[in-house]
Amino acid sequence: MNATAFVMFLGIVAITLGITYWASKRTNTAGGHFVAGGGITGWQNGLAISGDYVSAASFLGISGAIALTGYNGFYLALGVPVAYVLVLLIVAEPLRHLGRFTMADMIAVRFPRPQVRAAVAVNTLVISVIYMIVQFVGAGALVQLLLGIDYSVAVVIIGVLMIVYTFFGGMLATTWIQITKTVLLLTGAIFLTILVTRAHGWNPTAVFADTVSKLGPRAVQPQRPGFTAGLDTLSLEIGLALGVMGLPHVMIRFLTVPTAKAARMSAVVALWVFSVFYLLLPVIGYGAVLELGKETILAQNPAGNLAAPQLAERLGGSLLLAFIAAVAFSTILAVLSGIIIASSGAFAHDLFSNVMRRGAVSDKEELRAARIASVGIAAVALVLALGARNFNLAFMANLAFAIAASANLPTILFSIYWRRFNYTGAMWSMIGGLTAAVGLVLISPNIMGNNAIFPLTIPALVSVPFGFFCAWLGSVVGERRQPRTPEDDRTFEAVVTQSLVGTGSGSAPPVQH
Amino acid sequence: MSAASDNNGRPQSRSGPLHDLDRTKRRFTFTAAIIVLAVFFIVVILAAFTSVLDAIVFSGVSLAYLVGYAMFALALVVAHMYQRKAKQLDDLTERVRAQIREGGAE
Repeated sequence: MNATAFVMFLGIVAITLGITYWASKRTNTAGGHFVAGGGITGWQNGLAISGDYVSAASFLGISGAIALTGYNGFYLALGVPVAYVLVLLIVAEPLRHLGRFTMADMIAVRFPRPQVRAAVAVNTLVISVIYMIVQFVGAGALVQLLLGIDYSVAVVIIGVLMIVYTFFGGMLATTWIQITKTVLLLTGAIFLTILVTRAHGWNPTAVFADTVSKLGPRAVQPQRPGFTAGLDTLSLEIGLALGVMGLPHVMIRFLTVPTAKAARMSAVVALWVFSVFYLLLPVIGYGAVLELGKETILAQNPAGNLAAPQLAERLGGSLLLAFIAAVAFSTILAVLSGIIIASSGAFAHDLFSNVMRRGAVSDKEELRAARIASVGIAAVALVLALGARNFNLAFMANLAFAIAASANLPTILFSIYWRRFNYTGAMWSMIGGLTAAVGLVLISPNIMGNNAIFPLTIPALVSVPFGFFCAWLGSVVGERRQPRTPEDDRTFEAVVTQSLVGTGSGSAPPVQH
Repeated sequence: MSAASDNNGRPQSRSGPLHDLDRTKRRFTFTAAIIVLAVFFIVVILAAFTSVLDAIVFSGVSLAYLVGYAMFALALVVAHMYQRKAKQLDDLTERVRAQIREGGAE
């Protein structure tokens, strides 16, 4: 066990617990637990939101993929700026003006019936569970690799930390842990990039030139193994670009700021953070493969996930390695916490308060339900992670995006922008999108290997259009059964108005403090 | 009886500010979104199916990377344009709110 790394890990954990303690003093309402009382600023939120993508998965995964496979590793970055500018344009302000604690709140302004809420909540939970398993397993493996702690022990420790953060600190703790980790990870990445640039004569483009001269031009060119692979790439990008708008744990962050203006600022700040971060990754990735060689990278981890830490060790010694590893670990803690908050919203606010109790729930009761839900979800994810250790999880994160884009996005979009959208359309698209995404994955090479019926590893190319189609078809069928009434028109107009200007006081729907 | 509206329920007979706000925002949003998505899909298709982006432009940087980085720049440019537009519309938004408060927009 590397002592420096151990100390760093402990230091990071101590910081997160300190933040949680500070936040716990300020979190004693449901509003505090779910959306930090609406008191996060645009800048803070931007840093917190970017934390979901500036994560161990992208930092380690993309730099490793670029190190081993060149440009094709960069594909995972390409969809990100598109995703977030779309969020800014289409969803950020309406979400702030319509939503309160969860994504379902936003849709419920147009479709108050419990079935719709339940469907949104279920989709939220499916997406969250998938995401959580991926993160948990990644965290356990990372801790095991870097600290020598047994995987199962690592998973349990992480699970316990999750429970502490979310039970005591709620969204406030989660947000500040994200902010801290984003700043630390950016610092580490920038520092690593500087070291790489120094090793290549202080010229960043020299890294590319050296890559081409040592590994040939193929290392910087997209690789096209075939038509199906091309479709798979297209599918991946569709999922990435459109899925964020339906990802609950990212969307609820727009509910933590007080105004639409702050929501806009959040998205713009996040975009800037991504731009800096993702532009560094190819330099780090190529720097790693030039410095270490492919065999060394592959020896440590077949997916190249340890290329960046190995590079850190080579260029900055065990201190830099420890820092990078500890920060990478903290990113997983941060993302996991956010997902648990989002899931607790789906359980406590959507399913319990609104569907089961029809809104007749006190703030104290809802807070208690949220906390119990957080603990329960963390425990379930922990158990699943213990069992999922050897699964091939690479596709699962992409599956979560595909579900978000196929099942949630049509409803979110059409609730605000399409008059003829109705209950039937919403239910059909949420259920249809989810079924298509999951179903196609079950018959894909991920599960069936070479006998796969559906040739792509990512379902978005088919499931997203299918989700939209269901939304349209469902609306048409629903209209035939029950024609649109003036009341429906008035509801739509009210939703449009509220999405544009909020609830009249100029700020967010009232959040209890 | 609902007030006369265009074929997508836009409150046409409602007073100016709300309708203006709605239309202006919607137009900007959808134009910008379509442009960004179109550029994005063209880039992905070119990279994934053709060799158009394979050329090395300078110092080992391929056209694919140049264009990839340009996507980030495009997103930032569009984002800032939207922020500026939305700020200009904030006054209009406040007027609409005032009107609603006074019961005028019903």
